[in-house]
Amino acid sequence: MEILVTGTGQPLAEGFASSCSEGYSLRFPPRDQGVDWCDVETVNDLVAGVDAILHFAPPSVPDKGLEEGDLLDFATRSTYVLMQAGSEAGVGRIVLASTMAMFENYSPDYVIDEIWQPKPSAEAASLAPFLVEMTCREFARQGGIAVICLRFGDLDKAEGTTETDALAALDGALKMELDPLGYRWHVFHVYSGKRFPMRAARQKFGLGEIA
Amino acid sequence: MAGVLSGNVCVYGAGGPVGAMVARALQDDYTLRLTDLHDVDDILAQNKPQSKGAPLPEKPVSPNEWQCVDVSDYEQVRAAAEGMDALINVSVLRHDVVPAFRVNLVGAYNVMKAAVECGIKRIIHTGPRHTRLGFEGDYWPDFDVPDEAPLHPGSDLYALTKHLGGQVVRVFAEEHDLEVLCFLFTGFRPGDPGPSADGSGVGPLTVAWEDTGDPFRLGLQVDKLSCNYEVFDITVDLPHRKFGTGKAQRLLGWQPQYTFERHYRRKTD
Repeated sequence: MEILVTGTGQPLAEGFASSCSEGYSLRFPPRDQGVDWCDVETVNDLVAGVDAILHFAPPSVPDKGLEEGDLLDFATRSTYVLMQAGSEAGVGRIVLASTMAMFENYSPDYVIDEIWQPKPSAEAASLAPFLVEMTCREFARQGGIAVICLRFGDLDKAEGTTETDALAALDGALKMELDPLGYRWHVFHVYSGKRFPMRAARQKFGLGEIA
Repeated sequence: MAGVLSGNVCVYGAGGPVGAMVARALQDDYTLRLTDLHDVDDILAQNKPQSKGAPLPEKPVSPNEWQCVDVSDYEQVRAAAEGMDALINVSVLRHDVVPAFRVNLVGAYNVMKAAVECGIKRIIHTGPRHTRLGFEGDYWPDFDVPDEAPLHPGSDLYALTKHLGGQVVRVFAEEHDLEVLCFLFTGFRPGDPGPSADGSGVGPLTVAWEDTGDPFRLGLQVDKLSCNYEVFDITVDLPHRKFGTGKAQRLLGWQPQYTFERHYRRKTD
């Protein structure tokens, strides 16, 4: 399976690239290649011929912090360009690495699973992953492309997601059977701590310990 | 909060046709700061209405004023919001990827951030309700679609970027206890139908240009809303029963003058 991986500089993306299972051939542009993920032609070339896209948004970590508006613009526009390229190239599957952080504004008393509405803060850094999800979801809704959205906690923190669980979920999402007549937008919470249950991901991908 | 019955109102995107009608509807009750990327003199010199019958802005008369503001630039948006009692955002870019994200999404973020920093509680945001995007999820096969029905923009650049901007506005409104009205538009026509034939049809979400401004005046003046982000489909009451539930008429007291009845009835002798 030929996979385009975004997320240069992100630990989980780098971890996946260095440890992914046999049978995957990765396109993972290194930082020094300086890919402009908002450039349509560049992204079209990167997407051509791949079977799946593993999208860590934003697709690269900038060397210096972006202004709030620029962060929103970069995260969403690069995702739009990637999804557009994927749709036009006939890529059937996008795995989106997202975040559980957009649920931290809920009371810790709540048992939050995938049916809850995200609740980001009114700040660009919090809104960006939420808007990236919405962009991917709308492409999936329109048809021709399926998106499996994996929401992770902070990597390898006690209240977060272990790298083992995260890598297993990424592998599972790439192999997950898709019903051509079923939903095209799939969400899984991949969280190894206590705050958020991981029922659906555990069932689907066989992650973690049964509590 | 009580409605904003008078005072200072800033309009972002005043150079477009909706902005033009907003200014005409508000100029008797408010002092207006009309802003747009382009200067009003340049817009008038070009004399290119968005479509046949679409209005152009008018040069403001003091104390109203015109400022050139790029909504994607936070400092400019913030400066224009200073001293205002309410903000109206009718800015939009539709077709090019970069400005669509910069205006429709980043612009919405900037306006809301400025509202919070300036202590402005009443904001009117705008966007499209696309009715025919070519996939099942767009509600086109449905009927009695309520104003609150979530937008399903698909991959359409204009619809998607405005939807993302709307979600930003909703999050700001809920977190900061603001009162935001979001007006959704689809079709505009001149109130005078011109030579079009009786029974020639009208879209299920349509408003006359002449009626476009008044919902904004009523939206500023209405007392406390039932939620922080209240969505209204701005359309005359049409008999198709696809979209439009008369919410703007019921909650804002809007009474459109042009109802396009001639377009959906046979000619009678």
